[in-house]
Amino acid sequence: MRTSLLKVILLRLWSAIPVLFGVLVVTFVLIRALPGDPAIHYATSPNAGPEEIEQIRRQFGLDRSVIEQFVIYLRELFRGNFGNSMVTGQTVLSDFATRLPATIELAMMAFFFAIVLSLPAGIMAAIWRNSWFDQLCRVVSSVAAAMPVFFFGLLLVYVFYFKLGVASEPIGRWPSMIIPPAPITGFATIDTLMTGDWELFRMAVAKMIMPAASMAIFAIAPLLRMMRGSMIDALDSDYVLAARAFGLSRIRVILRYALPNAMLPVLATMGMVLSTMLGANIMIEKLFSWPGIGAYAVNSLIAVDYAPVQAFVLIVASLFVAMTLVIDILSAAVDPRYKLKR
Amino acid sequence: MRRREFLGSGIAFGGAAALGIAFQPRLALAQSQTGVIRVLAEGPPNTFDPAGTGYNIPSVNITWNVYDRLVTFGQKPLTGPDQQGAFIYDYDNIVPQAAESYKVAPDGKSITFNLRKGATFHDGTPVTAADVKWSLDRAINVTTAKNQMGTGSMKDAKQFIVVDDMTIRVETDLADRFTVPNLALLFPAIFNSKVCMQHTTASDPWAQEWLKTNVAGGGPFKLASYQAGQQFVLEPFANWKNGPSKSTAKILYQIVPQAASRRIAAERGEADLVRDLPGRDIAAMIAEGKVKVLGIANPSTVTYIAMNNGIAPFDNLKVRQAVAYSVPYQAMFDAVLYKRGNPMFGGPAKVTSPEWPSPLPYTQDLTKAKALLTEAGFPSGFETTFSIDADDVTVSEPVAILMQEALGKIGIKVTINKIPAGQMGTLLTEKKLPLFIANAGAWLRSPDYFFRIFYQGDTRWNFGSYANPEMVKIVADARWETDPAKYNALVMRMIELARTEVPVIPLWSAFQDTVVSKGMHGYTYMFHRSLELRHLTKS
Repeated sequence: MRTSLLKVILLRLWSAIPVLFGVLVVTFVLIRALPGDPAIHYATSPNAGPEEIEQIRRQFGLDRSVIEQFVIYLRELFRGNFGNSMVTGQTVLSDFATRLPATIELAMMAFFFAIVLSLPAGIMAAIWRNSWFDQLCRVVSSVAAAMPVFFFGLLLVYVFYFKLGVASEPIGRWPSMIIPPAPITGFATIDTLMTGDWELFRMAVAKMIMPAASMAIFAIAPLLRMMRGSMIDALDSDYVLAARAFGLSRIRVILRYALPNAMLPVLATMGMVLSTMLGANIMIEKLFSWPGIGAYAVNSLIAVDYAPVQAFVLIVASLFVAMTLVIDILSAAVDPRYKLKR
Repeated sequence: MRRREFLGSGIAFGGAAALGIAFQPRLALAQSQTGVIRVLAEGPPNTFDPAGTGYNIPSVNITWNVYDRLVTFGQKPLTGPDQQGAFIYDYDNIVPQAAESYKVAPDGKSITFNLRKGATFHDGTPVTAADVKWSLDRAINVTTAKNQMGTGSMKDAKQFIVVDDMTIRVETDLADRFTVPNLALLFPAIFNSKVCMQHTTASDPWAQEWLKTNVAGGGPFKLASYQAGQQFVLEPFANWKNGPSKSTAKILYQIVPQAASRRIAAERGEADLVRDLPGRDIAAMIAEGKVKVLGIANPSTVTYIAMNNGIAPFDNLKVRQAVAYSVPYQAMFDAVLYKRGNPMFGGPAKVTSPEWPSPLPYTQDLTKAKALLTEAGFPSGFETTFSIDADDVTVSEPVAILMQEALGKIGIKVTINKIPAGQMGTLLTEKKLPLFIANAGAWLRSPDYFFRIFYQGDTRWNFGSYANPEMVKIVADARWETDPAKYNALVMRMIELARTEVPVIPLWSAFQDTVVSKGMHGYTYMFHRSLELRHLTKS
């Protein structure tokens, strides 16, 4: 069993390589097909003329053919060099090293909020179908689905920070006047725990509450609805009826028999939700000045900065591949009928 | 049972929120400290090299303060009613910085700089003439700096002569009034050449790759920490000797992309300097009266509606004048800019002084506009597109909409075209846009310099693609004119042309608004619009 699982993982990773290569080629070509010439965009000096633009084009290697550029890019990629960002002036790798942890940390907290709220609520809505609680869940999920994440975030900031003054300032990951400690892993929570700075740990967590809550909002609707729907299917099924007929306690029936069977579609939704949280939370990142990868990628795209955009797509694609794999493995563990595809 | 579980999770969530509440006290304490000046701005810097390829405006906040130049601009107090205690750079008073003194030869063709004794770089090595020579050589060689240095007649390394360890001479073929001001700009910063030379390569003889992410300077501040896209910390260089510096506080510069977040922080008094706020927010904050706002206009920065003189129908003078008479200037100034600037419209009919930029005589007059359009041969108008930068929509978009409405009244149908910032530069350089909004400033204040950049030539800065041989000629004549009377006559003719031929329509010179906290003193506006930190103190 264990060796076969390992084999599945390896096979999956192997089959991901052509996918990632495809992503690489498409991004590489597409971004160059965009109108906008980086050489001109970066000719910022007040007296930039055609000669200067040409010089910058040579400096960037943009005077070479696209094929030649691609070969150079691949070669550098193999050496672990993702290139340099023109927007931050740092290497793309170091930018991601600082930003990816921030994104993951926030997404995890938001994901936790979303699950803790929506799964129990979904289960209870399924059990007490059409009760006042079920109706409340319906209202909450409809509103959550309809409300732009950004707007909810603004509302939170307005009420809790501006009016009541109880939440921490919606700017970045650290308290305002504190010069943040040098990163170890890049995760604010892990770093502060490693150095044993409890005060700073609590402040870092406090900083995450508002952005994470705003992010969680958009995940509540799909998770809650999915959980409720599949739980209803499970509760109405013959095996639950049989289990009840055997006289098993209600909790046992729900937790042991209905829940695992209902989890499959929910797991798939969870995978989707988490991937979205990791890759596409630009509005939240902008609103809370959160130094994540989403806003970074968009800024780079606007500034015709090729290297970071390519790296972003590649990294997010890798995350998606890994996420699908994890969800598949979890699904197989939860439900024996689910076969792992090789 | 289920219900209990739900309640439990609810308590967990509420508890997490309560933790957030409990964490506040230390923050309030931290903010009262005077040792840190907290700056909030919109964009992140992208290089530490003052002449880095593609350097952006936020990066000047670092480079200007960590490097010295041979000379720099003096400061003079501002006199506006809301500007008490603030200063602006004095273009006519260039004071020594890394140089202790400088002397222009009687023929004006050579300038001798005596370096300051005892001055060192941040690492403690003394500043020598060899460092200055290397730095000036670099400035005339790297792509970004060399054209600018050329405007001050500095083009060849042979022009920079090391006299002795502490003396350097700059020679030019002709006496050039732009040589000394050019040495006070961003690019000819003084590098620690011994350190830089350890990081040069055959393909990179000026250490551009290394200086992008490293500082080798001797300016009033040291870069203490830097987190790309988030924040940086500058701390005062204790041994700085090159001028008056009062600042003892560390500078914590944070990047906050969202204007709403910056405004909230400003209103709650949790930041000392807040920049890049839209006019609407500034107007509202002034009305509320809780914060201090310094609105300072750079006299040579102007926002224009530009028409492409190179393509029909804007090659027709009457069409351009018709457009100039149809702009709803006052409505734009009031409703879009919230009066945060100096108007460039509604000026006197006659040119009375060689001062530029100064208001043009236009105001909105649709009857006149319609008549001019008919005279030009477009009685029923025409269709065109109005392009705006998608990054600058707060001002550009309402301006475009007001223009669309006004031009519609005289029969010109306008489609608004929003262009991503990355493409805007390309389209401007290729001169493909018929009608658009442009905003730019000149670093050097002389009017002929201004007209040379913005009213002639083939760079993107000639927004109107204006190609009038007379303008080209008088701009060239004024370049070396030493007789003030003759020079002024030439400039007045340039102004005359800019007013009657309206290749571009100046709208206003917008303020740079900065919200400053109550304890801040010594705020100084520099020509480059980024922060001059050394005069700042906090009490």
